[in-house]
Amino acid sequence: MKVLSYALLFCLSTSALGADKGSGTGCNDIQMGPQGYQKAAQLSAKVLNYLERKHKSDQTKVVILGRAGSDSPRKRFQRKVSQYWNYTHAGLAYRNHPDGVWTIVHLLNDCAEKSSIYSQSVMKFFVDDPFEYRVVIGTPSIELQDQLEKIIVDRNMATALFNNSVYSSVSNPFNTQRQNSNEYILDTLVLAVAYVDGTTDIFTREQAKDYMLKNDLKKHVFAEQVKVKGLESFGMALGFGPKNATLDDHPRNERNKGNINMVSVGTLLEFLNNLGHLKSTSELALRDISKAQDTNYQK
Amino acid sequence: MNTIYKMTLRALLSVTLFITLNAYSQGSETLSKGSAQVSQGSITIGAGAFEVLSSAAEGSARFTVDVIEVAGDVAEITLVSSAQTSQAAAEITVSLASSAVASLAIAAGTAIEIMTIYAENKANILGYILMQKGQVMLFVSPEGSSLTIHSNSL
Repeated sequence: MKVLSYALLFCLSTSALGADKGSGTGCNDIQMGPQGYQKAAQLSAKVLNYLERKHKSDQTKVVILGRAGSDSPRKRFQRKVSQYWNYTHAGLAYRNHPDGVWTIVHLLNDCAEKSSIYSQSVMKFFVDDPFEYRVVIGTPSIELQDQLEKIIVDRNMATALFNNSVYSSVSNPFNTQRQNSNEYILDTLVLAVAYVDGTTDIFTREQAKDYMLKNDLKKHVFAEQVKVKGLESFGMALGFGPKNATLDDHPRNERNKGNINMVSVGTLLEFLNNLGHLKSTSELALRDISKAQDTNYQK
Repeated sequence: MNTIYKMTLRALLSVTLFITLNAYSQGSETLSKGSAQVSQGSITIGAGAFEVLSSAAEGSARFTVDVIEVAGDVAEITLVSSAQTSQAAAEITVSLASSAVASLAIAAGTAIEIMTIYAENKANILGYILMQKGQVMLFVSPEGSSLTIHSNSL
């Protein structure tokens, strides 16, 4: 019995290391190899060419970019919201950003509960060890693009919509206790929708969330649901969970049922579509979409 | 026995939670710090060096740091290849921020491998990566290219 317990413990420890390798805690260094750079450059070139063509044809200047960071949605996402449900991370790309043409503004998890807002080039967006080299591009309505540009480029409000939030990879989209990357984009879109609707006196994440709840926009947010089993939920309450995820911002009934609401890229595109603010969507991919094989994960 | 049982339970819980919840954001919304350290510069490739690169197997050729010149905020690194070319000089000049030179830990005499990055259809060159011992140090794109790897924390 004793031997069996030790053997089990060893196996579990090994599995734990494996699970943590390159995981989303954000605390470990990930160094992309030559193949990763090559794939990132190729996909970026494709995306930039597409965006420039689109700009020339219909003056597109702000888009949502969604990347496929992991293959977890296949197994974990219960609702599979929209046909783009399997994209895991979104940013907003601005053609007229002062940091450069088609700069992406998005939230990244630095480590554990800490995150920051970054402005990055398209290539940097893909030099981040994606699971697959494909992208979905959602083009908002022209009036929404105008407001998004006003908010982020003209008024420089990118950090106001972050407001030093505390990170959780499964943050609840309907309160401001925690925030993940896709919820940051949702908060930005809500603010832009408010501006389109004529409400221009809101400036922070909290006010945007308040606007969403008071103006019944919640019904247009089709949250993705991730399954969390009772044992896992119990373990998290005891502090055994990963450093960058918690359920403490989700209501008790959600935790009891084990269906945890969060924002996926599919949620964002559906949100715009439901409000009549999604002009078009496109998917681009490399011929070989597979993950780079030479990434170095450092402990 | 009791301790082992508790340890096993604890490990079991930790593993399950890591696998489940880390999976949601695995590589999807994290900052890859190692990649963030890769700098960017501009590159001038002499005809001889271009010949070395284009004839190299898999687009990758070996060069050596010949001169590092730092003047104020700008550093210029000259790389030379020992490969025989029909051209006179197999020389590459890389210009970058002088602050980047220190972080790259680059010195005269260092062996650098340069890899050409082509577009998917091989029709044009998207850029070059400079590597030391297989690790990417620098991404450089041709003049006028919109491919950059900048990242700013706001």
